[in-house]
Amino acid sequence: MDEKLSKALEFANYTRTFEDQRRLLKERYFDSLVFFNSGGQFTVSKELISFVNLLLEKETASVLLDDNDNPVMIDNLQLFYDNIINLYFQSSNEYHTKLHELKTKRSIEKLVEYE
Amino acid sequence: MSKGFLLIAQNNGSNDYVKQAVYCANRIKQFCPSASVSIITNSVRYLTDNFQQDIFEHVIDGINLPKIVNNRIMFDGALSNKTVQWNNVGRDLAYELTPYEETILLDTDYIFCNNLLEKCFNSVDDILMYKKSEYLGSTGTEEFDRCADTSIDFYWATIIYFKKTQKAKVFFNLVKHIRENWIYYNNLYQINSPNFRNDYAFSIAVHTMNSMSQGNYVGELPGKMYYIKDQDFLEKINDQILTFLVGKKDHLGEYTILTTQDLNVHVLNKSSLERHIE
Repeated sequence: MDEKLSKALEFANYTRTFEDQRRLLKERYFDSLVFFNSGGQFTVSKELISFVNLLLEKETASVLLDDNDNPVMIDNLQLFYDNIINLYFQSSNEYHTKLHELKTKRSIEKLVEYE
Repeated sequence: MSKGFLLIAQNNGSNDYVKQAVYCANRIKQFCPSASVSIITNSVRYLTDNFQQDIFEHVIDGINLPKIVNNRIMFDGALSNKTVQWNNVGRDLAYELTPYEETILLDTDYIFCNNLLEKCFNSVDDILMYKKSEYLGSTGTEEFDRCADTSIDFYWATIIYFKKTQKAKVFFNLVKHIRENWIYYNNLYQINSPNFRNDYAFSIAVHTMNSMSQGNYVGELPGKMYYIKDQDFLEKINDQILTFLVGKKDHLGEYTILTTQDLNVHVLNKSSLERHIE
């Protein structure tokens, strides 16, 4: 096989693996953003954080709709807010770190950490 | 209120579901140390003679479960397959047989790598299932969006959270009715599957309980159902890091390597799974 073509195919395999690993990192990130409170299931998002922050200006407790549209009474809104924002920072920082690590890996073996 | 995981292992001549169940239970205990796990199996003697049974809080004899043996082509990678006998009937009886008030019923070929599912206990919903799924290969997941091109939304029966409530009882009874009249429902919903499949029966039940429409009778489990197909391989298990070889689209027999970390994965290649849990 032509050397240029061989290198191109090798690089294509690398980029495919890189994109797969990046996609799976993102999935792991979304999994880590699920927060459970009072029987409700909440995926932490920028919108949820902003909305709860807004509610806190007027309320100490409130009903929130969870991921399955169940109305869930949150008795301590401040604690809920602290928990979701901590989870958001923790998960986002870890995602950032892992993605940065991934970008520095220059071979398929290193991308998938296969020994 | 009692809570726990429930596994159903019905051995056939080709796959050792009891062995898978023991492995699955150990993984559950690893990531959810306080969790209780029970098993329904038609091979109680085999389990007690060959494996540590103290991993299970309850061992429930499933010898009297209905026996409808389907023949199914099961792949082991893209280039190898065999026809196996497959007894998948009885999942709808989990409601009656579970020893728990809150149960997470799951397949034995599901590899735990985190404790996300355990957090579903105490849910405000009576029934939770996966609807969203993600194939670990990057060729898309359209095949599990709907039961067939012209049919209803697809729900995975791989994992079902349910409470002992009237709502869940009605739901499971309906699934049983669908199973007993499978030929009719198979045609009605244009599924055209020669074999009974739990995913389809539960999907039909969800659709029916939602007044033949879409709705919230069943809530969604957190995250997505991640899976590999039976044409792919599980290559390595290193604690919560799993390595897979997934088939390249349009390149039969060629694979791409990928790893997951902290993601629970449903491994449809059961032979590949069994090679790693010796």
